[in-house]
Amino acid sequence: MFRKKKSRVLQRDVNFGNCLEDMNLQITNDFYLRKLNAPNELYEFQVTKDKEYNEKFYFAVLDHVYSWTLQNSLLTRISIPLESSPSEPHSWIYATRNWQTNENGIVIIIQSMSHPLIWSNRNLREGDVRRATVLDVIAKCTEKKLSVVIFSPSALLWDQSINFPRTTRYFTSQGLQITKKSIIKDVETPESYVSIGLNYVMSNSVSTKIHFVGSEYGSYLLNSYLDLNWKKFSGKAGAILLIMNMSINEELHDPDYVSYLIEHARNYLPSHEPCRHLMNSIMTESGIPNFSAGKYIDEFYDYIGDVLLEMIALDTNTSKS
Amino acid sequence: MAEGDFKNDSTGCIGDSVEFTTFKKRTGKSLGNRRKKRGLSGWEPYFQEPELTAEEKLENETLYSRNIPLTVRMERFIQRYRSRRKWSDPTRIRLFTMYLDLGGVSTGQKQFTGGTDINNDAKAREVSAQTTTDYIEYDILDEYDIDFKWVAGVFLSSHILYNAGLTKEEDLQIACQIVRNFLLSVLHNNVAPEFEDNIRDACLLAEQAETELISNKRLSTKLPGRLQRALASIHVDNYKGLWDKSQSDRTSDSSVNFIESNNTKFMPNDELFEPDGISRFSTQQARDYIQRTLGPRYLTGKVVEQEYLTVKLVSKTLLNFSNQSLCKAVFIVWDPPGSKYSQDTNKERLEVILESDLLNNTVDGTHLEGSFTFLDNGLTILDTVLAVLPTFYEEVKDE
Amino acid sequence: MSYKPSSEIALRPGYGGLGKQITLKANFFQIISLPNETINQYHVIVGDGSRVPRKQSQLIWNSKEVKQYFGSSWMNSVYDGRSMCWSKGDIADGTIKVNIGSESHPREIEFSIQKSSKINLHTLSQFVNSKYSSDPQVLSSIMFLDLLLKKKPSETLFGFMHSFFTGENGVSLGGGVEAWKGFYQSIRPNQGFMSVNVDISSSAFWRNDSLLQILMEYTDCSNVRDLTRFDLKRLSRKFRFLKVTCQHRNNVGTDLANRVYSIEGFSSKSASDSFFVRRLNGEEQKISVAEYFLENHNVRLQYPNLPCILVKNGAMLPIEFCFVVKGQRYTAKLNSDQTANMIRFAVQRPFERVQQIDDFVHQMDWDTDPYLTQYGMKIQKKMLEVPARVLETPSIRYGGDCIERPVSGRWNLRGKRFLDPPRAPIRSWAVMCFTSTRRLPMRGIENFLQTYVQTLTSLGINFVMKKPPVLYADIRGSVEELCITLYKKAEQVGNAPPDYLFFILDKNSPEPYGSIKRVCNTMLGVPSQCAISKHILQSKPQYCANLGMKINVKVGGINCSLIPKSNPLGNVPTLILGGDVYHPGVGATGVSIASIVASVDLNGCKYTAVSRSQPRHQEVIEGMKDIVVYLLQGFRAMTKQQPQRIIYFRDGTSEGQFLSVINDELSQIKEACHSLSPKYNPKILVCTTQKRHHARFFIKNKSDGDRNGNPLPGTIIEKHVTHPYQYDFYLISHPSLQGVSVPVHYTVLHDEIQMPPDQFQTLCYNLCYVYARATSAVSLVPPVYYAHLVSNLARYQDVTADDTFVETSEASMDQEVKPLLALSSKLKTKMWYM
Repeated sequence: MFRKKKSRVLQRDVNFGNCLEDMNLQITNDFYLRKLNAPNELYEFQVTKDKEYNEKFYFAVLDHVYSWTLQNSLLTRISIPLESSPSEPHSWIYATRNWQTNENGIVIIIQSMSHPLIWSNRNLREGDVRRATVLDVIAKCTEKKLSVVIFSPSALLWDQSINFPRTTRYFTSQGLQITKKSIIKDVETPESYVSIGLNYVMSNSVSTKIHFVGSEYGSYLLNSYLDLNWKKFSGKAGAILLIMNMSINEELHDPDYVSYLIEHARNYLPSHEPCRHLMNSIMTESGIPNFSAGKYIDEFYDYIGDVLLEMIALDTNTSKS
Repeated sequence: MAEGDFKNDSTGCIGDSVEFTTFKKRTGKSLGNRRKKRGLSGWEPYFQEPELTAEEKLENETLYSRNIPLTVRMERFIQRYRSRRKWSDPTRIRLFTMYLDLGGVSTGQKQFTGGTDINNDAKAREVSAQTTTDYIEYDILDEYDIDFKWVAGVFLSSHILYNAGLTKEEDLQIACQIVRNFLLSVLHNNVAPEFEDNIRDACLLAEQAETELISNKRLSTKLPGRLQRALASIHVDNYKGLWDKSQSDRTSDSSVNFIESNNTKFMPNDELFEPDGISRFSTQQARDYIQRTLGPRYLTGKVVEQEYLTVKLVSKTLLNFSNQSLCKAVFIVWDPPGSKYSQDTNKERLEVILESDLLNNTVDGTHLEGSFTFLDNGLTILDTVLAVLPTFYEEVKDE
Repeated sequence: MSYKPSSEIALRPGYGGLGKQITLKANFFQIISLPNETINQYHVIVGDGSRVPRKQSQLIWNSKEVKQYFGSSWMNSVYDGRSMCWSKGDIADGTIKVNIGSESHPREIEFSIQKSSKINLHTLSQFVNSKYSSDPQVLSSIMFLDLLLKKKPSETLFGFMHSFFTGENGVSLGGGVEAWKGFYQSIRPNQGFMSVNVDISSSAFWRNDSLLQILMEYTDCSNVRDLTRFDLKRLSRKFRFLKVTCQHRNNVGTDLANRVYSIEGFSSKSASDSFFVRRLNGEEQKISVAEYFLENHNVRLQYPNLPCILVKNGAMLPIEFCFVVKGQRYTAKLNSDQTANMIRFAVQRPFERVQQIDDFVHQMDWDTDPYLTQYGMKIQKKMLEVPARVLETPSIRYGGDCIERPVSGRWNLRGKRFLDPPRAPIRSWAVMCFTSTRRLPMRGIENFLQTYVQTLTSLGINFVMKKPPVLYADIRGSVEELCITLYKKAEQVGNAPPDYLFFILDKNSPEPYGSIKRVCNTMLGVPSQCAISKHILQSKPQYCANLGMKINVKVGGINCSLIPKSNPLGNVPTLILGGDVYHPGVGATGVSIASIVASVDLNGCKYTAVSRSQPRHQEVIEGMKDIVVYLLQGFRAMTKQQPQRIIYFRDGTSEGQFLSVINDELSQIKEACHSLSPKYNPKILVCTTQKRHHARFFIKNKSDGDRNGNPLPGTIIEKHVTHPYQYDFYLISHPSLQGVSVPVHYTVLHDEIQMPPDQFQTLCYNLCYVYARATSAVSLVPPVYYAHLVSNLARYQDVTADDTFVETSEASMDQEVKPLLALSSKLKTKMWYM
């Protein structure tokens, strides 16, 4: 009977300009993401009725925030696999400038499967952009003369058109085909990305202290790596901050690592108890002390910098004494 | 009607003899009756509609006159077609509606009654008029082309596989027959003479589809076949050692024992998971079988690559092995028309060794989607089949 | 001691008092004065006794022959259109012939009437005052009143079943169609009085207007000239059977102007080009329609270029003289705009509904209804005000001592953990994908699984196996073999039998879903979760959380429960049962399926399920005794306690079936208890639930309702508009989305527990907050919901159900009922049906 004609209009790439302002958005002086002409209005997901357009728009916003964070936090990017040329498929880890030479200490952060350098999209929409992104944590650490290295295990697919690593979510939402050319050799899984990256950081940092942050899925990646390589690290390990830890005892094999965790790590979970309150009500199998992250996990990302510094201070004191 | 009747006509209305013959009788009914009288449902595989009477021909000429747009003719025809067949089988209704929908004909649900019960006493004629709810947007041709063959092809390949999820042979048969039956009736009633060739092609396709889909379905249940399964059990991660005895304890929570009377207690027992050396191989069985058929050379080998590919069968050649009837099936990588992306692979041609009787009823040009594992010794293993697709397989972008 | 009606059905023990007292309006209108006479009931036979169409029976009833035969009694007689007639007059037995043809073409049909019994209407007054039990006298009296009330509206209004339309205030839907509001009415016995239950119904009608106008709208032409270019012939089918009159300036007021024609179609030529041959003075002559009208009727056509309509006897009429007859239902499918308008028209805010019900009642003007007057029946014209109470919202317990106090019946899972995750972490599972890699690549699945595991972990379900094996499969392969393979794969990788299996399907089609469920539920005894590839690709955390709610209960966890303070069960071990019977549709084969779910914990959160096949369309559950024995054992095995009470919620029974539920199912429950031990005698309560009724409740004060103006969740109505003496109440437990909330009608049929009404009502309401698949209060007690779900899945265990068509002959109907495939006993402690 009737067959739909091929749509004559080829899908044009939508151009959202080069900055947030081009998208009628701004980051205000007090660091909120707001509409350009109405500084009190939040970003809206429904830009048009066209769902696909909204998705593209949303990712464009995230991209701009990513660039903004990168710029303001003065992070350098290290490509993984190492030594890849800019046009070869690679993913990134992000580090503050002096990470190799800094002896005071280094903080290693493994993000969840969220957008690179952004903790929580929800906070980004509503709260302080510095805290919704990693900017606040970096500022606080740098102030204490600590270096920071950030792992973003979500962006492991190569977008050839712009030579840039992307999240799977980006590919599927934009209707892009995942081909062999999108696969980044040697870092096909979050596990291998973390493992290559951490090996590199470990062997190139002169620091005597390493502190760790593992957020949600990142907590599992972190634990799996440390459990395997604990012998190498045990001398340098400092504080371990976990957010909604996903690992359970059965998965961990090194008893030394497990006992270190119980001793030094803290796990933050959403709960109705006041934020940063030690909780006895929820016992995890792992035996790591649980603290309240506030009602929602997003709330905790506002505090993450403060909590981390407290833990580091505590660790420094105990190791001195 | 005799002209004399007009003498007493006090009503102020008048007759028009030509129009009168057109609308006097609902010959559609009588056709349906003739079908019923012959004791036929209209779905018999070799059902033939009775020759049109002169009267019916005349009626069709008016209904489906060439100067009436095809959309209107089709809409009219579908109404009549629906009333002339027996629709007691829910699967058939569902498939016919899906087919029409793919072809740009929308079928309405029962009309919105706002909670009022449908008038039960409506006359039968009115009821049939009430339930005819297929319609074609009058400006459909601004965005659509007319192509009966394409609709039949897409419907009988990707549509019934993925959208309708047809798995049973009899359902596949129903799907092909409904399309063929419908198209034959379009031809029979001369609804769209200007597209006759296209419709004939579509008919032939539906006929061919019936044979192909049934054989595809049978192949689906047999593939990848004994040899490939054995090879997979040795070389492919997903299947390595899968059917070897496991130590896991399958008894359920013993703390809870309450039993339903007259209900046989059922536990998945070991028998359910027994390797049979035909479709399930323990490692040992697999080694023995490969040793016997291909020889020891293929017991070793390193996996170089694994890819999911959609391919087309181009040839099968019998191989000379002492005790086993094997054949070499040659496939080429093939992108289905209408698929969103082309496949990302550097492979072009694949050779797989299969039991020759597997492909007995499979025509060249049949397509497969499968997981292929390539060994460093040149062997290609077809370890998993995702779908067996007919020669005319086609997809629609952006469903 | 006051008189107690004898009844096998429980009597109301009293009223509850908890909650905030409010006053609502109910769509009930009190009958202030009930007839007291004794009337005669007659048996009527029309023709050969076979069923007569409604139109025809109306014609007969209003014929001069019947009126003549009845004499003065006709005014006070009512006829049900079939075989029953009532009158306070004395009508002689006899048979008369009625002409239902015309004067010129008579058609006769016989009408016989015979006195059968006497009905004392006074029993009604006694009945509603709990001084008389329900019996045939009462039932006949109610039927009589129903018909008496209908008699006048059916003379002047457009009636369809229980609904009537005045045809006023129609709202245009576009295309010459308008929506009418009509009303539903029926007689209900209430507390101390009878009342009329009135509700609104909406339907689409052709507008009564000139056909020309309608056609222009239908074709979207702005002037007649455009219409002449339009090929009206192609619209013939759409206008077929539409009834019109033909009116022009020279037939005004004549009978001709009222004669109704039924459109057959449109002529292909215009009125000036449509010729016919007529005989004039012995000569044959060709004349066009336009000329004919000028000559014979002295009217000149304004639009001779328009085609004509063709009517039944082959004649033609000019479009411009045609007028659409009022009250014709528009039965074609509404187009999308019309549907949208219709929905806008039909979905009302509650206050609009009130207004419209009041308007209709005003129009009905019962005071002047001559038939009601005959019997001295008077009806209040204001909606009844009824006392109601809004129960306190229960609090829900999640994991980690988290207490949720829902506001307006809704909450979410953000930041929450399940109350009881499965006892052990998930160590074995596997994924099978039944679609093409072209549609869902492996990367898409892996990405989903990361989000999924992260989300479920945050909800408290721990995974040892975070990366399950994923296999693709051919949906036309052997689903049984594939499921077994997947089971084995999970077992191999996880070194333990799978906790559950996960399947990805391309679309929501009957297969392979049905086969997966059958194999997993019967052969393998493993919970299964199916998801659609589109959602996998999007992998939204919200979707994962929704899956989490299902997975947790499928692997034996509990999502949430009521806090002890909100749980009226207290510490008394209580078995809660939910029962429902599914009947196959008209076209489908297969048996009817009875499903019973039963609680296996002390909080009424976790339910095990049983389903059995039984003869088609049998409503009473067969083999109840065996089922209950099994369920009692289950409760004991799981809770280590013996139930002291059994509460049985039964759905799907109509008022007429109440007694059989009591007699059959209740006695079987009792037998089950006795068979366990002669001394075992738990107290039993049986309660039915109904959604299909027309009772609606409206707020008087804004503060008593939600944003839409519906009563708040927790509103309970048990006074005035409920049964005279049975133990029933209406409960609105869910938040409303749009439109007018439908309350659920609970009727306690049997009560040995003797809980105070407050306690039982609170139980019904609070349980609605712990339906495992939602984060909102549901409208019906969960055990009943679960029973529905079980029935839906049990259909896949029916060996006789077949989608492929089998001619149902008389012989095949009598076949023995084959049992369903047995559910694996491994699933009994899990809510596998979620």
